[in-house]
Amino acid sequence: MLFRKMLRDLKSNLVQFVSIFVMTFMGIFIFTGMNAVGEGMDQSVSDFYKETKLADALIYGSDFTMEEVQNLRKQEGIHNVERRLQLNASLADNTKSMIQLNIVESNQICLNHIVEGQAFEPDKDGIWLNSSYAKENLIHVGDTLSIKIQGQLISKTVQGLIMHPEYVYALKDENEVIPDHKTFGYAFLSAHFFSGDWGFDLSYNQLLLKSNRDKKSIETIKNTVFPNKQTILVMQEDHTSVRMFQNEVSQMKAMQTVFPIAFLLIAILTTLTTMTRLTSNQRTQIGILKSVGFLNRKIIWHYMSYGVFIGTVSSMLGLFTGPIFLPKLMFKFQKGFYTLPEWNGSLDPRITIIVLGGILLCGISGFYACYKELQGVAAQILRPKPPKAGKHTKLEKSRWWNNLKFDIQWNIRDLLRNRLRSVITVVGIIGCMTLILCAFGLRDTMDDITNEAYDQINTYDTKIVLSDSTSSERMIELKKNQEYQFIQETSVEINIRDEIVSSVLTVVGDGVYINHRDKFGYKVELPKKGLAITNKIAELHDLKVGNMVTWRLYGTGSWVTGEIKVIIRNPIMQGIFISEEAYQAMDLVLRPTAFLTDEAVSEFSNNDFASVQSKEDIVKNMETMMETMNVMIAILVLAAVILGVVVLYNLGILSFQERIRELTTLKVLGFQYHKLRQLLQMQNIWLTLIGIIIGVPGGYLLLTYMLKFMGDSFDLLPHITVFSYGVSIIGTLLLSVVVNWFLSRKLRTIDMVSALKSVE
Amino acid sequence: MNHFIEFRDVNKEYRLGKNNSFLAVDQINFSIEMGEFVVILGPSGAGKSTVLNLLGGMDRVTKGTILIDGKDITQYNDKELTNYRARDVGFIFQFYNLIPSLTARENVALVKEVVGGGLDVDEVLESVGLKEHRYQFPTQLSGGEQQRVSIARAICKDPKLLLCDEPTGALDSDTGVIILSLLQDMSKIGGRTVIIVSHNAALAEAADKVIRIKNGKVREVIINENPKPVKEVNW
Ligand SMILES: Nc1ncnc2c1ncn2[C@@H]1O[C@H](COP(=O)(O)OP(=O)(O)OP(=O)(O)O)[C@@H](O)[C@H]1O
Ligand SMILES: [Mg+2]
Repeated sequence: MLFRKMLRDLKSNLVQFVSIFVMTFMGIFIFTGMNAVGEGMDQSVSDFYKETKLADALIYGSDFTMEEVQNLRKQEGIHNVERRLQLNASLADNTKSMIQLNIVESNQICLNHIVEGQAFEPDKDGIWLNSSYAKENLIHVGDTLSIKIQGQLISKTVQGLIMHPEYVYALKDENEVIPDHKTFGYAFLSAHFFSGDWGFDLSYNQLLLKSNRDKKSIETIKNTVFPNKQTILVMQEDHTSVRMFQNEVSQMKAMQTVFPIAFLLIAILTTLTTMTRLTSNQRTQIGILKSVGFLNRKIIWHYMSYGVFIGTVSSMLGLFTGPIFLPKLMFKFQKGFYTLPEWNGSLDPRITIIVLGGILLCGISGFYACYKELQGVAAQILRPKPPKAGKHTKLEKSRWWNNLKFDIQWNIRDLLRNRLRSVITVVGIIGCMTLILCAFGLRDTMDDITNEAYDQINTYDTKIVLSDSTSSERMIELKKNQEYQFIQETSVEINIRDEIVSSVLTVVGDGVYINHRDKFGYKVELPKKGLAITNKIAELHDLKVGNMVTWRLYGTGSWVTGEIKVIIRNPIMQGIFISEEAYQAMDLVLRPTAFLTDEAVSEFSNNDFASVQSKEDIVKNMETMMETMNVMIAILVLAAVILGVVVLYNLGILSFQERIRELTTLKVLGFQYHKLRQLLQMQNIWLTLIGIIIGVPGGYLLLTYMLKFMGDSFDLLPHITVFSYGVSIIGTLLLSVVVNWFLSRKLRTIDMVSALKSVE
Repeated sequence: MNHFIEFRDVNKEYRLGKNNSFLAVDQINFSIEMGEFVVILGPSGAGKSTVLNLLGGMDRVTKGTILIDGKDITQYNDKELTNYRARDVGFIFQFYNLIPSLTARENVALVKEVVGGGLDVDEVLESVGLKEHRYQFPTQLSGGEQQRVSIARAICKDPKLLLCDEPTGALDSDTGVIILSLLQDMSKIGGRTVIIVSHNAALAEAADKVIRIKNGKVREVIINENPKPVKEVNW
């Protein structure tokens, strides 16, 4: 019976309850949806790793022998070891792209996932090519590829198209952000069918390890097995592909909590106001229920049930739709960066507990609202509640108070008397503004990457990566060209206070194509002595100008120490930069790995190079990614608009209903429609303005927070253009004006006669 | 001759359902002169409030004409009607209808927002005996004081017409007498036309004119040659 009363009450307070419904739904939708995205990515990738037996650790080095492998296998805690040769090659008829070859000996660790064709087996001849590259370059199973490796040509038939767990996120070049599958691929071949083609013995440069030991103990094992060899240990979690994907997962998980907060907060606050109003309107009814003999417990449960009922229905709806729709949408975006065989949404079961908690909170708001009303005996409750006492606020004691027009005075008092309502409105607007601004800011910041990285810092048009086989005559000839800027890019280990960090060292030769900037955007030159380090690393490891940095090249070389002279900022690539002059001062020689030029790509269709890449392609890729991002931004903005509209409309109606008697009185007194409208809209406009003012830094902070999860290689400054500020502010204001316009149409419906008939 | 107020064959019909309607005001005719102190009497549900609301421009007639100073207000559009309420009519309700978030003084001053001119707010408040209480909020005032604020609010803009729907309905009789006598003074001293809807037949002795309404019809109109001051009426 009370359930039926509840349904009727819901109907007569439709707007309020619909908005609670929408807010809870949106909150749970985003919350569970984003959780499904994060958990799903986590799950999908670990399934992939498990299926393909991803190595727990990798040792880089050179000329690994079978004895060394055997020796390593004998060590305690090492379950399995396998050799592999990894080297870069290109297709004979496509020098623009680079293919990383993996020549595998036994194929027990780091297996391939077969997309099409035959499974990879060590006793099968042929080549297994990654499916994304094959797709972009229209290569099919059965095609024969002519591959150029260190100056030699070999022919292999494509046996299968694959995905490999070490290439979930793989870039050709540190200067890229988005993988370009057209110009970068990888392939697997069996060592048994390779040595024949090769003509001499394979020199394995990688060891794949299966082990349950941690980095420290494997490091010790490594040092005992290879006492005299330059080797580098990389644990699975430090592998670029693994780490980048894990970063992405944590970014998704961070969004899971940030975005729904606004919605759930609004839902709970709205429940609180609505229930407070409902119970104080139903004071007499509560009294009657009580006098009829209902237990307090029953009455409390009845009023809690409103929130619980709506919360349950909307949460369930959100719980069942969010994890279906959001992963679909987000995965589309993620697939531009990461390659996985399966993308499945998956929900952390603990999430349901949080959802239950949300429902409970809605119920508790109802409890809180009616608990106050239940105090006292039935007879006392049956008497109408004394109206809220008028009180002079401090504000009114000030001199200028009396100079204010009455509508301003009235609205100020009304705001102060309905603090909760005002706070909710402001919170809603802050949420709306913050979301819109953050969405636009994300776009602006992404735009900035393109600008900074490819227009300001790297001004070359073409980057030519040299291969080991580039002949020395050719090098001498190239070096004659004063226009070319030679650089050496090498992976290094940096020792920072005894912590080994892997990074990239770039030695920059003379030229004009790399222009560094400091944290504040001012141009800086690389020092003639000492080195420059990127801001992100400096901040992460608390390094300052004047500190010493020690590093060594991967696989070879001894430790080198240099002093940090400047800190530079690079949005997409972190590492150490040294000028050729400073490098020479350290008694080191720049060995070019690439050179930069503004000549067109087509000038270099020469087979002497490992790859030739155009900046234009990179930028184009960025733009494609931005388009996908626009969809996300549109959805964020939509969510923001829903938040804003629902909050403004709902509270506007509430405020209208609470003030209808006063508004009617004014209408009777002869206030014209536009005057009443102004009166009604004034506080909404004020609250909107306050919300916007707070929302501006809010959006900036949210953006900063989101960028934190972008991954170690990114160093992004939150940037919001004036245009974005303008659009968000005007948009939010406009939203408020439109909602108010709809609300004020209600003024026309006021029936003066019946509204003033009696006291409620 | 021209009357100040004239009701000509006024009907007010409320639609209740599709084929169902209720005639709350049925062919009413009466006239009121400038400066008269008029009392409208009748049993509950007779249609008194409806008549007053029609006269005050708060409601629209179904049929008929209402002339005020020779102008037919039934022909006014919403804006003109609002203007008419603002300039010419002062309302006093049974439940005061003060704005709770404005002080007594502000409640009065607010009518100045719609019409320029009028009387000085503080003088009006003094004339209804509320000088000391003017900075209090309605909830901090007694019922009688609240009703006096509402009278002050009604007369502040110096209207030709004061319409009072059971102004003493929510007050004890002593306070009621004070309020009614104040209203009588508005007419006798201030020269305003004051129309009071009441249940209390005793008030008839104080009125210049008594209009008795029953079942939506005017039963009789009595003109009192020698109205008593309210304070001398035997309640
Ligand atoms: N909105 C309405 N819809 C239908 N009927 C109505 C409406 N308003 C009033 N009535 C009817 O019109 C009749 C006259 O109502 P009115 O309020 O004028 O009475 P009254 O004389 O003022 O009574 P009271 O002394 O009780 O205030 C009543 O019978 C009432 O039921
Ligand atoms: Mg009445």
